[in-house]
Amino acid sequence: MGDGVKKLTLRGREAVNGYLFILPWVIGLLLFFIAPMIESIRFSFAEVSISDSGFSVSINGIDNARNFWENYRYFLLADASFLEKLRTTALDTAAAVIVITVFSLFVAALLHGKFKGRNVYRAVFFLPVIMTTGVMYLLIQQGMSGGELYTSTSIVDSGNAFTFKVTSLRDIMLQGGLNADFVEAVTKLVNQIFNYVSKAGVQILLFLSGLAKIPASHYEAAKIEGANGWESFWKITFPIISPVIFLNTIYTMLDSFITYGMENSGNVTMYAIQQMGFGKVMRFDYAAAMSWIYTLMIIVFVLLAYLAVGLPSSKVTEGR
Amino acid sequence: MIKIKKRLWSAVIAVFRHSLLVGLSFVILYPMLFMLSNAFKPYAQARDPGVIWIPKSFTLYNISEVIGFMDYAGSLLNTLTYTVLPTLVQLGSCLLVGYGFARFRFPLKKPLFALVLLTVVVPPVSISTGLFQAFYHFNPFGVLGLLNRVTGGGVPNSVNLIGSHWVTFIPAAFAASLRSGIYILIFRQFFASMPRELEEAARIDGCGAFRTFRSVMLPNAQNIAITALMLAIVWNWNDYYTAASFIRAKYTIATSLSELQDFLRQVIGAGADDMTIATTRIQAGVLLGIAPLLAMYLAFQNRLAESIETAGLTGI
Repeated sequence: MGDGVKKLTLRGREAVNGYLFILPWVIGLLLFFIAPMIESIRFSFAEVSISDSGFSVSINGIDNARNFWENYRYFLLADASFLEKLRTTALDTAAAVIVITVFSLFVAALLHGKFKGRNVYRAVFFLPVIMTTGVMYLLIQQGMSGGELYTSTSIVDSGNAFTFKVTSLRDIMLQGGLNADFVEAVTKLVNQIFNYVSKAGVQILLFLSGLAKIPASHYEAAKIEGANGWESFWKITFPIISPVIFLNTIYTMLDSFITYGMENSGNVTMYAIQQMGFGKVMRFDYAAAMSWIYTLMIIVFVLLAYLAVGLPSSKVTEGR
Repeated sequence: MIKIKKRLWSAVIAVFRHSLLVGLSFVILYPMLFMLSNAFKPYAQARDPGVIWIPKSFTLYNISEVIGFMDYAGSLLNTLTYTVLPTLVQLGSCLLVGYGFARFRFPLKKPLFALVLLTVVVPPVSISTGLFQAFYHFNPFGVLGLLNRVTGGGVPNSVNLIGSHWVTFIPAAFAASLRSGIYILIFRQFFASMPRELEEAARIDGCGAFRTFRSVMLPNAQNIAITALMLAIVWNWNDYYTAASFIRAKYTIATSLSELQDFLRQVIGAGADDMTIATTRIQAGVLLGIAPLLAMYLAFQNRLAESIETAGLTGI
């Protein structure tokens, strides 16, 4: 018997130890992720009716006469409003990823290095992480936007929330003969500036951490070789921090996809799913189908980001 | 000549840098200033067009009134026991799991790690109905049901965890609560970037895998763990979703704040027009909700800055 234990190879012992370390997670995964996920997928292919005594689930095409894909068909083909919401969320997220990634790299570059007041600025720029999550932020936004505070639900739509209105900028651009769609897009972007700035805290942190890793000697060598600031950014900084760019792309993307929104602002898809499942209607089956369509879209986005940013960045890093 | 030019240039850069940073800082601090300005403003001045930022007089009335409305002490206690303490447990288990994925080779490692990524990608709303079921009829792997049959009903078939502390502590202990996947990823990156020599030395000294982890790797992970802990506390503190869905009747800061404005409307009994009067009290509530987080942030600010500079936050 004791022999069996002794015979466990080094490799085998390593595997056992590895499994022991991840064991808590495996249990948690099965109980609180896989099981609920299977349940939710089952709901999405069923008709769920809720009564006082609980709810009953009848699987489409087996327990009832509906098409197996009925819930999915409804949101993909019959009801255009959900697709419209998906489109809005996808476009908002794409814009957020681009703007926040560029912006946070820019700010990190400003904050990097030694200068007076650096610590104060750093403390300020990370502050949004504390300020701008959850209910508190919604309440601050609502307060600042004034009027539309009170509707029937407790967390309410704050419309455009806190925005710097830039109507004069829009007028100038329109008079300048610029394309109206373009002007609209730019105006929207500027109006959103606070939202972007306030969501960049973690990203700035990650970029700063990446920049701190670059040895000063690299830049000195480049200077001796006669490279200017622009060249050393693209030849030194960019390749080294490109994994962080990928990390930030993914982080921003998920942050945007997973935060709760309101009816007309923020993440409208999450709001619609939440309302369908836990609002007045309580359609678990529809909510489940909506959420799995949405999840698929998120996965496609993450894969695209991997192909567009992740793969090239890993090649750049290897090529160094 | 060249020296003067150089000096001039660096002065220009400094001015440029500071003006940009000051401008952006203002954008960031704006909501904070709004909150502070309103929280200490007598509410008669809320609609006074002559008062924009600095109130004509200051009052603690908003604060003291809202402390009563929100049951601040109770909400704070609930937030601490339902969200902050489980966060500590959650990070402990995530550290273990992150280390497991970083340092050991075992079969099925890649697909398992892909599952970590999946938990990060799937929005919580997708599994919330099933999760509610899992808590409402908690019967892990059918163990309770089996015990029920063996003991002939001596043990209940399943237990209802909704509203109890277990609902946040159990998932935390098994690295399955809010955003656990992200912490596992962060810690995995960190441990993977550590030199292997440290562990080899410990192993030669006869340390087992767990001892090595506890006495060699954990002390090195202090800064990154504190950074992650800060993020985790903030996210859990503000998490309306878990509190509203699973903790329910026990109000946390997030849920009691979200009900504050409905409550105020009833108390004041006002129509939508008059509700600007409530702004001062709502902002007082926000200030109360955020104050502990701000205190924590200020206390750990240095650690945070250090971990930016030293720890492998990004794993590169």
